[in-house]
Amino acid sequence: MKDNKFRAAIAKNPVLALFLGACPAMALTTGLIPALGIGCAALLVLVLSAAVMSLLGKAIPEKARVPACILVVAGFVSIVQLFMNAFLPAVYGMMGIYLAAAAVNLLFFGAAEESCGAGFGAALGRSFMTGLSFVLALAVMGAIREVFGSASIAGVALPFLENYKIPFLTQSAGGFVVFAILIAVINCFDRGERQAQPGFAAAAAGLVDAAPAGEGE
Amino acid sequence: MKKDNFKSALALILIFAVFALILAGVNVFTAPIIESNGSAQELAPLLSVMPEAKGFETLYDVNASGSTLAEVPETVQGIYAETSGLGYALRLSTTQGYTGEPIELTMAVDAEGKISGIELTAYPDSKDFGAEYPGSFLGQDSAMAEVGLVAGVTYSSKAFKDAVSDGFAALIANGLVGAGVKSDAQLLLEQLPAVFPGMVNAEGVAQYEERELAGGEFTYIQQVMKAANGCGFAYVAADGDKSYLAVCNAQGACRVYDAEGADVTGSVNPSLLEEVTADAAANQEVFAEREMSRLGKLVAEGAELTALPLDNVFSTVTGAYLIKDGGTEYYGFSARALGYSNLPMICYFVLDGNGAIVAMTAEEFILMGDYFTDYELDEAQYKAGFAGLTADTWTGEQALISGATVSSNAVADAATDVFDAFKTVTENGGEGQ
Repeated sequence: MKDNKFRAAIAKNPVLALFLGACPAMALTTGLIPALGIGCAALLVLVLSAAVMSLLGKAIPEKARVPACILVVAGFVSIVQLFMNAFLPAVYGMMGIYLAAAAVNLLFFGAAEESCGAGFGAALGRSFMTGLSFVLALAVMGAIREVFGSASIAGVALPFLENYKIPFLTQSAGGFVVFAILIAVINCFDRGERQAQPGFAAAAAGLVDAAPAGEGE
Repeated sequence: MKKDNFKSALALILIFAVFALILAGVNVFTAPIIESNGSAQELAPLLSVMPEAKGFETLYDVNASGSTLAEVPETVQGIYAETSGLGYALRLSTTQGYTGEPIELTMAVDAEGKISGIELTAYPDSKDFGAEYPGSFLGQDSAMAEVGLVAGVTYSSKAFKDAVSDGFAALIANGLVGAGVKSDAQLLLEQLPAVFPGMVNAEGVAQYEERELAGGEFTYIQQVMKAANGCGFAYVAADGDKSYLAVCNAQGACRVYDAEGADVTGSVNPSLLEEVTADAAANQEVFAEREMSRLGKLVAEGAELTALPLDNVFSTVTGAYLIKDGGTEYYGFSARALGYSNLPMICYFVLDGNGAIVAMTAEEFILMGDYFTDYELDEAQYKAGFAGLTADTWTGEQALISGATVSSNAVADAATDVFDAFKTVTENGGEGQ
């Protein structure tokens, strides 16, 4: 199975299989645009912090890695936040608190921690894939919730669905329902192989154990 | 171990320092862009009233200090100068509307001091004064000669107009634009509360609608205003280069005033008076039949009613009658004071020969009563409370209905006017006050 990259990507989907970044995934998938907004911001932060951590990895003592990751991720989140506020003010407005809150999201720590000491190329590739699957998961969730909940896609109204929309889907509880359905679909692909996957999940699990207070979402 | 701790701390400090530097750089780069994004958002409503504006310079902002402008009324939230000299944009907010929640508007005033754009941005009151009302301010200077109030929505339209007025006051006080000159008609109509109190509502604002002149050639009449309660007309008339205000009551009695407010009924060109009187007679709604029926019933079936002249009564009283029931004589009056929502509160009073109220009634005691549920009114008891009151014992308090203040204040106004009319009718026989 390991050669099946598609399956592996799904099985390692940070949101739907590992439940990382569930907070923005719920809060910002009421529409496709905010979902893509937070997704792309996250992708950028992931790649940048993985790159930095892979370069610094060997220079940072083991015990300083977690605080170093926090510093690097928070730094990049702040930078992305400033740029979004300046150049994409409308999308930035949709992010609300969740963009800033991403600074303490395990999704980024996991990727950053994993990149410590890893090869630069490998770290970049892996974090990019993680980011991409995060974007995809959020885009799918956002699209489903927007199309069926608001009868529109990316803000463009879909008049033929107007009479069939389910506004519940745009609410928080509707977010949980869509989230659950997508997880069920992922589990069909996964069939328990997730436990066997080393690496990211293990790293994430290690972080959860190390800092349980971090998962307050 | 110590070495490891030191290395960890050093690494963290270095990472911290590097990111602090990068963030500072990014902030220096993005801060002006973010600020201009924010001000673009704030200026958007200004651009919608002044679309051709190149930019705005803030002269006054209620939330910021350091403005050099003086005497800016509370209503004014912001004053912005258009950078290419087109004029000024203002943000205004007033809580003088019906609900007391802020009514907000933006307006643009051109360099000549005339309103070039106006837009309502927040309107909490349930009764709308109509989309055309703000538009009627376009082209007006600070005198607002051609803007009235909307009958039935007086509170809100007055609040709106006063806010615009405050905006002008701030501009004029700071020498930004010159004051407009009030038109003759405007100055004349400002006399109305003094010369025709019957047209005025509880706030002291004359309530009328402009009526179109029709049915003949008019040499003198320029404008005619129909009282909102139907109790007469006000005319702006001109003879040569002189302007006059003429008022006619429901009985068709007219008086003419000059620009200084002096009564010139006796000395004005008789043709002018004739034209005004004829137009009033042709257009006045006649209440006599209804009044006689209601007043007759208040005394006794079969009572005889004779109309009395009201030549010198310009109050809310629209009819006065001598009522004979057998050998007893009574005086009957009908009055239309403006009540809730500026609707006429039509009241009927019967007084005995000594001026004491014998009976009273009204078409409706609580105007638009459906809106109010917190009043309690035992009609029979309420009416009985008026019996025996004379001009001397009347204080106005007797009419009060708790929970329906505006309506019952109108009843009180009507009663006051009736006592006055009684005095005029009996003591002077309707001749002179």
